[in-house]
Amino acid sequence: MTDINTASLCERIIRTDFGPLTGTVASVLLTRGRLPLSQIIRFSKLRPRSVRGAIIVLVQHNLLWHAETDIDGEVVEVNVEECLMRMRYGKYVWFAEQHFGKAAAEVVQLILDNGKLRPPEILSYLSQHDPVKGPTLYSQALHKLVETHYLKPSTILSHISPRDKRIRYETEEKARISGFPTAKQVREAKEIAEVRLKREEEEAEKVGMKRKAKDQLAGKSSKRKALDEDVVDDDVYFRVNCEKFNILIRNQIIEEAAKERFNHQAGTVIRAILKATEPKQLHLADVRSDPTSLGDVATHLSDEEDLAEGFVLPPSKKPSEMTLLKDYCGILASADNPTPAGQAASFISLNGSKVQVEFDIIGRRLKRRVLEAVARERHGDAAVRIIRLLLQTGKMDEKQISKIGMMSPKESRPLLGALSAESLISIQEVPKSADRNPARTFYLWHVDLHKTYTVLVGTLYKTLHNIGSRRQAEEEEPVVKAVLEKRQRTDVMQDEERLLTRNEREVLAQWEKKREKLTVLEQRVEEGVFILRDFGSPGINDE
Amino acid sequence: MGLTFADIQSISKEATALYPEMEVPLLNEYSEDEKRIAELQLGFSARLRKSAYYITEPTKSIELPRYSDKYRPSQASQPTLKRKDLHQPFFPQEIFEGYFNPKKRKITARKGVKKRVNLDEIEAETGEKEEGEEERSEAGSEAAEQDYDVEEEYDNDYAENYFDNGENEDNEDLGGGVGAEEGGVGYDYD
Repeated sequence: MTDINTASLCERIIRTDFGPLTGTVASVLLTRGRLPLSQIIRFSKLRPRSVRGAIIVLVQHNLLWHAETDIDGEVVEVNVEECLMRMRYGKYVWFAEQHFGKAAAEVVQLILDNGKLRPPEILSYLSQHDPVKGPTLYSQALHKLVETHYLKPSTILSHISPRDKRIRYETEEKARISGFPTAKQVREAKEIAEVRLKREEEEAEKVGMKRKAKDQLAGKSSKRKALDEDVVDDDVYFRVNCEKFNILIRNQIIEEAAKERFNHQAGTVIRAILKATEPKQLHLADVRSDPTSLGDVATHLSDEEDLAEGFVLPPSKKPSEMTLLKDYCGILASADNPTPAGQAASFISLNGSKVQVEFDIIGRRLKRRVLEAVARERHGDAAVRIIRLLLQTGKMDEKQISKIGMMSPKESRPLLGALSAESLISIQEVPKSADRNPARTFYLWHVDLHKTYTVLVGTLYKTLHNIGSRRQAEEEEPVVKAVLEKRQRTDVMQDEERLLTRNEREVLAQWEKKREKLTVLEQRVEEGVFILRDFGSPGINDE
Repeated sequence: MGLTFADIQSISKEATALYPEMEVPLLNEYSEDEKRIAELQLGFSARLRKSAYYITEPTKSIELPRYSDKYRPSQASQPTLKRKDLHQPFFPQEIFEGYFNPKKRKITARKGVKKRVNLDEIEAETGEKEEGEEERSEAGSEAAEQDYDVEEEYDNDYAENYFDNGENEDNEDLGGGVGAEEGGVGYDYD
């Protein structure tokens, strides 16, 4: 069961993509948690055949887990994370195009369209238009994607609800404890179960590549090693590995942040650093990247960029690339400011000649920026001052806030009330006497970051839901609806120029422009959600 | 505290605005890349609409048939889910079988229902009657029978007859028997 904002957003996503019937099934599951088939039919009031079809579609697209229980039989449960990832599919395909080319983008798009597919099906579908060169082109792209972990194999285990598995393992572990379990033993049992779960998942996902027979090289094989080729296994179903694509999104956000903070060339430098360790970055939760040497980074710098342009140098001096690179790294690492404040403002850490990108620090900074931006927009600059003050000093009394923040109490009091009404700041009571007499307690204000970020994510979900419903409302406006229905006709689809009047074409153009703007806005808001929820440091998941 | 008469007099008598002034936020210019990403994102919904993954129910339209109907997308043009496209082990087995094998499932369902309600004689009678009807008319829509299957679990007889709306009350016989005030069920004991 999820909170109301997440549930309504997920329902909207499923409804726009899969239709109202599937949307109703999803909303029943989102509001009531996991259910067996008969109860879903009863609550959704749809025909059983439609409900079964909807469940099959959702399982195929990895949006539903299922499990077998003793009490209820077969139950299904919504995979909320995967549902929210659907908003990023456009970005995933775009990244695939940027990094691997058009063929890879088409492969990724096809797999996202169908949930999961086997290689022969992918190749046969995509090579329809180009049977000569198609298969080799697409199979190469597919191989590359699987090798770099952008596609991962879909196993039977991944369809079973992880909560069920966790409960089962925990009961097994607890059964091993004899006598009364102490709190520590219970905790240990939980951790062992968690580790076992992760290990099983990782092993199951190693299935993707299988080795071809060793190539026997005749003759001068003394120098060349016998090549062991890894070929993509044809029987395995592949799905998109959202985590790896999310890493790409994160790297792009970091690059933009560096560009904004310093200049364009600094962005290039940090991009090169990230690219150097990209193959090994597999999890968003990493605190910092693997260390790389400056030489390695230099190889990843593109030749077009001239680092010297980023610096104001005297005209005679022409320093080498490496010195410039070292200078940039020094700036990015705040080497000139070794205090905690400087460290909190850094992007990378420089140890001798090794650089590491500090994801945690950058993430924390970006989240604070989002918080401050929301506060500034809603309550003005004074609110931002209060929040910064509280973040810096911890917990403070109302009188102290007005004194140190240099605001009159008349100004600070309503702001504190408004901010706490939106859960951006919280209150801590410290009673002076044994009974909690309000006149004799201290009320200390503070910013509880975890709670604040959770509330902000909920608000952003609401915003996304509103954008989606505005887009739907624009589509269902009578004039636009009539034109869209006319456009669906088979004769009009072939000859739009003649059969649609000029008015209708204008209406269509306007509607498409509005739709585009709304989608761009949605992507931007989604980026905010990414920063707050997925960027790394303690995630805001409620499990 | 509170407003004195002088304060009330000095308040302006004009109506205040219904809504406070709003600063409408403007969308900043977006780049080509953002446009392309938006295009790709919208493409997914468009492609899914036409695919087999969009579930629709056949509806009956009460409007008169028109000439342009032959050009409009009909129910038949929407592709349906095919068993060969899906990998069975990934799905919950009963639900999968139930969708692609409706006939086999009906028989097992019937047997299950019958076993459970053996105690109630009346229930068993109506159960047998339905079996007979079903064997005769297999072409009936599966949906309607399945709905009946679910509803059959509730014993509706009492619920339907509980409310007595006073139509058949015979008020002359005020000192009458206990059964006179009941609804339909009561008539048996008259």
